Amino acid sequence: MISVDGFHKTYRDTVAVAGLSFEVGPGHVLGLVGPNGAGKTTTLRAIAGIIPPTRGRVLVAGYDVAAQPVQAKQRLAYIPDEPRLFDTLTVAEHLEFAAAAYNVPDHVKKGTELLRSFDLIDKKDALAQELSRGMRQKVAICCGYLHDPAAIIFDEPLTGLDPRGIRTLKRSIVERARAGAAIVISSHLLSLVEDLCSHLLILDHVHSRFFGPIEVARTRFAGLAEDAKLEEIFFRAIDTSER
Amino acid sequence: MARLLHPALRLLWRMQLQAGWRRITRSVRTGKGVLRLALTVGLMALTFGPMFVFLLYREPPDSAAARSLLEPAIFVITMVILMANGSKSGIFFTPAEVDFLFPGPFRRKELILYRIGHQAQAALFGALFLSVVPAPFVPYWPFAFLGIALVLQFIQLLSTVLSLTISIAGQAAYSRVRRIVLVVIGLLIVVGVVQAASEYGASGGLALMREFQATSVGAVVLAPFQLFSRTIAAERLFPDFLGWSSLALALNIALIAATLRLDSDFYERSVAVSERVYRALENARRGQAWMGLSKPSVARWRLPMPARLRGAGPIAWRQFLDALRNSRGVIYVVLFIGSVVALAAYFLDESGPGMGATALAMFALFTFPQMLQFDFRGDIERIDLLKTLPASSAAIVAGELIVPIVLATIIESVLMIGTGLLWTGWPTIFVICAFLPVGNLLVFAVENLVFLYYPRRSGPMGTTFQAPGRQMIMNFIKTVVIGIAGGTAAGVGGIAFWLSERSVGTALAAAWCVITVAGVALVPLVARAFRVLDPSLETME
Repeated sequence: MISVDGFHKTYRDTVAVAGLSFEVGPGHVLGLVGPNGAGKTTTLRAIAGIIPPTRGRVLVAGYDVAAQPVQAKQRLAYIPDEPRLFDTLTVAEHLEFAAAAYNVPDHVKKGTELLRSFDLIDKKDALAQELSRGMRQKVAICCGYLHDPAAIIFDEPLTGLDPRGIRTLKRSIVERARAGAAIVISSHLLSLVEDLCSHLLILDHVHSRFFGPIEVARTRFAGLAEDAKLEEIFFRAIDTSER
Repeated sequence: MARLLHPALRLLWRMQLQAGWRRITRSVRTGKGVLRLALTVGLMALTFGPMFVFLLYREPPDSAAARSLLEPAIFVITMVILMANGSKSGIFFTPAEVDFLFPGPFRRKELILYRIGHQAQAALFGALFLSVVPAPFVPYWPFAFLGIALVLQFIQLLSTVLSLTISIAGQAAYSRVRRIVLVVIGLLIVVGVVQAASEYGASGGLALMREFQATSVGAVVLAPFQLFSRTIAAERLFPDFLGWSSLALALNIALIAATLRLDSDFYERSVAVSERVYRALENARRGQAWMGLSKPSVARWRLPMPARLRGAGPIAWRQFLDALRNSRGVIYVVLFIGSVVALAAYFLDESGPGMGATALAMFALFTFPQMLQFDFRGDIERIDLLKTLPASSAAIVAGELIVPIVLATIIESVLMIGTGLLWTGWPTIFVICAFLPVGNLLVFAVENLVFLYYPRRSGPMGTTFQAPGRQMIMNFIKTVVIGIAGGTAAGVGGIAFWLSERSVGTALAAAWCVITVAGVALVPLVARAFRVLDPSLETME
């Protein structure tokens, strides 16, 4: 569903990501972890078609994001780490726009259900600028879910969400993956990745240190117990690469 | 035929227009909002009303004279904007547009058209205000309005074409070509000016400018700008206005066609440029457009911590440090203003000095206080912190007000001494410099007083229409307060002059004392406004 092959991104002399390759199949949830500056957001933005790769290919649902951007983006949802909404539009108008953009029939019913599930139904006529940080995040998620995307990308999705919001989001991720969506979650919250993700991609110093199912990660690095926590795996991967 | 604009983009545009109206209607739900809207409408009427009355009863203006000024003016503005944007130019999208539209299923051409549409809308809005400037010198205001809108759109389109060219050609290649083009244009101008001076013997700024336009070089350089100057200063609807405006429109349409044809991948560049432009716009909305002129010089400037002074010392120290680290932009603006005043004195012959002095006064009263927001206005996001400090509100106010007052006084004194001799003598310069600190106390106390009762906190999307209205209100209040204080000072000075048997020194000293008392009397009011301010009740604009 999402295929990244030899992705390389440079800014003048600075390498942001070097030769990254991975795949996220239908129903898979990939956790993208790594220290600050590892290249996580650059990778996500390239998948979303915001920035072009310097080299390499990114496919979403079989469509090349660079060559067939409209087809690829039609099947994709990208929820950035700090969603910036149209401040003068209401919550309902955001959904109306998203529905028009992705050509979603019967969006009112669907949108209402989404707003209800994220406790936003009372805020549907509120202006975006009147919303708290967490509510803005929820609006972005609702807009992203509206067209039932085949691939969903989250960048630090839990920031600002209340406990109920966190639970709803986690549940929705599981449900959407079960329904066949390919999901990528970039987060520093290793417990979230551990809870939700079937696969793991560890980025460090612009290189991939590990990609594969989480269970495999436990056997990849020497000295880890069978039930090692993701935190231990992560630090072992980073420490190994530093050595 | 492929559709021009995705239906969702049309819907978004329509909703944004509706949202603008909704914003106005929502803002009048409170007493403060009603008062602000009434003041804005009233001040707009005061600004445009007299102009329309004047236009109805004036003598027919000299259209050719207006054109001779408009052409070089449009040329210079275009060049300055293009050079200022330079290699960092790109197509600007708001942060929300970047987040929603770039990952959305839209073609690049559709996004460019959407942006061009927004630019056209902004050009019409900008032209409404800018057309006030040439209106007295051209035959018809509507022609000036539409002509200026076409100019603004032309500049934006040219900038867009350049930015897409950069994306295609690459930064290094573009920078080389740009340098060569600028050198060629500069040389052409020098050749033209020399030609005008030698062939026609023109002397004086305006005469030289007119003769330059008559030279072959001047005609070539300014040719594209004739379309706009002739539209703005058209004398008849047909063939003048319709003919020239059609040509100007055709030029803009050609640029749109070039933009769509280039169709390069502008997203990455736009993301970077949009963040930069957005920060600059936010600064401009706060009246701090100059901050974009330079990067803060990180930690290069250091200041020793002054005495605590009941809490005022550390506050003033922080503001001073902030001001010093952002001072380069202010210096550029001051140099620019100084140059404009000096050039006005040189080029405009007899009326120049008067205009220069007026420009300086306007600058000190209206522009400078907006630039030097090293007080409560720059601290709106830190009001909570200020309220938790173990200091009295009077001490906090003192710490907040001292920095802009001192800086404004120093810079205005330098400007006075630097340009004052062009239009007056040393005694007047010294008197004005003596009044600067107390005048600035009055100005900045009023600025902060009004601000604390009507705080402005920009939302993540900022404001578009409210900022100019708000500024007009602030300028109106400032004019009224300073008028009353100045009038009282003049009255008291007059009485002192009479009582002291025509001693100018005594009269000036009395007037100085009155301004000082007025300024000092405002400080407790500012302190009270800070005390009663509840940041949680103030909504974002």
